[in-house]
Amino acid sequence: MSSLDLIFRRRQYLGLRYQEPHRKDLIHLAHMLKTANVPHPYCSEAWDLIKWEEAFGNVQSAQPKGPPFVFGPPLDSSPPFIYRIHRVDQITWLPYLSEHLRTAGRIAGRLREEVADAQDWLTLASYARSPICNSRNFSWWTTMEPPIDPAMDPPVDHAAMLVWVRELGIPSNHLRPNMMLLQLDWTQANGLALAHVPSALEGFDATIFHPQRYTSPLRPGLTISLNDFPNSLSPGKEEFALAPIPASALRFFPLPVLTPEHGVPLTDELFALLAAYYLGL
Amino acid sequence: MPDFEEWLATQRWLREKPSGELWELEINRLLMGKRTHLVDATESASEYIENLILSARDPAASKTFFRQALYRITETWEPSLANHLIHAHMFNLIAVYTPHGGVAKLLDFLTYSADFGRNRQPSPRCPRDLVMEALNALQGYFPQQPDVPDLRSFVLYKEVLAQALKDPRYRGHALARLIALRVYEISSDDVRSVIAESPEVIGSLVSYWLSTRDDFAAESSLSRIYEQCLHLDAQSESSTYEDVFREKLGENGALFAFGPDLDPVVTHLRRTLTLPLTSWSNRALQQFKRRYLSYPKIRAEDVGAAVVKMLSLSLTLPDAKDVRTAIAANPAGVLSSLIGWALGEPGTERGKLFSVLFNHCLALDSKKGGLEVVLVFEACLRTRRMRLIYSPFDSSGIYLTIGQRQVPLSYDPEFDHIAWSLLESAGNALAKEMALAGS
Repeated sequence: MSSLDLIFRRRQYLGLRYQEPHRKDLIHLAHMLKTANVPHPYCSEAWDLIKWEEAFGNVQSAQPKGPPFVFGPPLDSSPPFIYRIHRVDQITWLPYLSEHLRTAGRIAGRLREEVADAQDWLTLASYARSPICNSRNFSWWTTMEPPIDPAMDPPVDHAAMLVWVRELGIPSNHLRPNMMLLQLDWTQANGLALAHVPSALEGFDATIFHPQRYTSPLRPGLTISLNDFPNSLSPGKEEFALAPIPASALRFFPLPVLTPEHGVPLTDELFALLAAYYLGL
Repeated sequence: MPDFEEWLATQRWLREKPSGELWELEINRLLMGKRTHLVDATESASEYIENLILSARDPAASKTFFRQALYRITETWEPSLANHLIHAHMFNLIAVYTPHGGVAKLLDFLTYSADFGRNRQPSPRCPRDLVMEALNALQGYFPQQPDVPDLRSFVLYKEVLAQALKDPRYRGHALARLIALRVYEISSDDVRSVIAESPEVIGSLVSYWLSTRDDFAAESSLSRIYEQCLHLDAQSESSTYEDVFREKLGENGALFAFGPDLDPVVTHLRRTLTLPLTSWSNRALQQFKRRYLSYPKIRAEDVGAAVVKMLSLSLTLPDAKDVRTAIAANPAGVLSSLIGWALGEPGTERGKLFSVLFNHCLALDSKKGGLEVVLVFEACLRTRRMRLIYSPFDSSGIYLTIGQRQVPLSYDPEFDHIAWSLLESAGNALAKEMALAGS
């Protein structure tokens, strides 16, 4: 059994044991993938993302109508903003950027000039219109404040930024040269009932995901920190899943090119640590 | 070897000991769809490659090997309309890295495979417009007119653009490129006839000049496009083309307004572009005067002073009719000047002043029964890096951000209904955007 298969089995077990309300959906999903002869995303043979995303879509549409997620309660201690790191090439930019600058590198270059002029976070709606979410209609967010000071030169501490990224459990393979930080007003997220504690269903295709125990009251989700790699993995910072967020509610800050050579790549060494981490939960 | 294990091994080798052969293998695997889990439909192949290069122990060496490998692959690559994903990735790599052989392959593809003018419907198996991607990739080779305009590839490129100009799907791109390459003049009759036939090309022209950081070029070019629109409107005695011009500005986050002297201005992000009228044709000038210069000329500075006087005397809103009249005559110009003036005056009670202005906007919209002036107010604030926040769940409802502060905007209960429709429209817009994302 490969290390990825092992991770999958332990994650499946934890999801079923910890998150009773999602048990039925998780079993249904595994069954759908099996009957459709689509390998599970974790296992070694399954790297055709499109096929299993179709299968996942079928499961979601087969679910009963109604709110698909459990909304988390507002947290008194939360900071004013929540953040996520997002790829520049996954935004639908306004025509003056997308049609004429065309590539992510050129668009990011322009945005870096803009932010240097403004010395402040930029309003996303002035540059893009698309709501922010992934192909499954949600996105991951954290309350951990990024090491950014728009008034400083340079505004981003490269080393501290990589520590921040590792704390969120993002391996270097998932970084791209052109990335940006998104910022959302926490009260706005709560007011629109956007944020919720991520369940095993959201984390289904994530290799690195800490399935939170289903308790009352709900506790925020947690990232898995990669900062002690290669010695160990540990629980990281607060993590939330958010429904699609309109560009008008967001501010952003384009990051300088992040050289991921000091990041943590997806390797067998990391998979072994993850298997041990899941076993210890 | 299972795909995942193979991918891990390749990644390790590319990081530790990159070579031309390894890179060639990785590019070929990418093109054969073996990296679908990392380069899906929403991501560009070049970003994936760039990340691999940056992850290497020696990124410079890795990049050199990659370029050599891409050069070799481009030499033997035969583009076609089949297998769209492979070609879309290849077009993306060519657009970013412009390998030497790429220009000939792209021209060959566009000359023999593109069906300009036949208007074939996109097939469900080929959702991406490969012709558009090829045109985009080709743009990287000719950002401007080359030093030798007789260059064979440039002559062929102009021919391809001339063909693309006949096809409504690519007309906007082709026209913007032909103007940027100085083959066409914006003020020419050729350009006017293309705009007359397809007003939607105004969008490509407007977005092209908004994308430049050269304010002088943007001002002069936008002024000429606007002049063409006025000229065509004068012929048809309508405002069709000007409306499209304004609409396309809006789609790019820009706003059409008037300066204190009633010069047309375009505000975009933090810059204000004044469109010079000096070189306009008589017909365009007459059309402009007919449309706008019938209003009394209002000096915004005087209006600002009047508001301050009223504030200091604690006069109530009904006494401020002259201010309201001024805003009604020229909403963007007057509001923009007043906001600018207020921000430059340290002693001004800004929260109070902005509330007064907001009330005027609500009153004017209340009279018309729409949301027009208040949206101009919002746009003017945005150009000064301030914004209105609508909070339907909050009793105060509407706030203004000034720096790091949020100031509640108070308004007369008489205008409750219009304020509520503003909140409702903001809420609906959010819901609509979320529903769109859901679908």
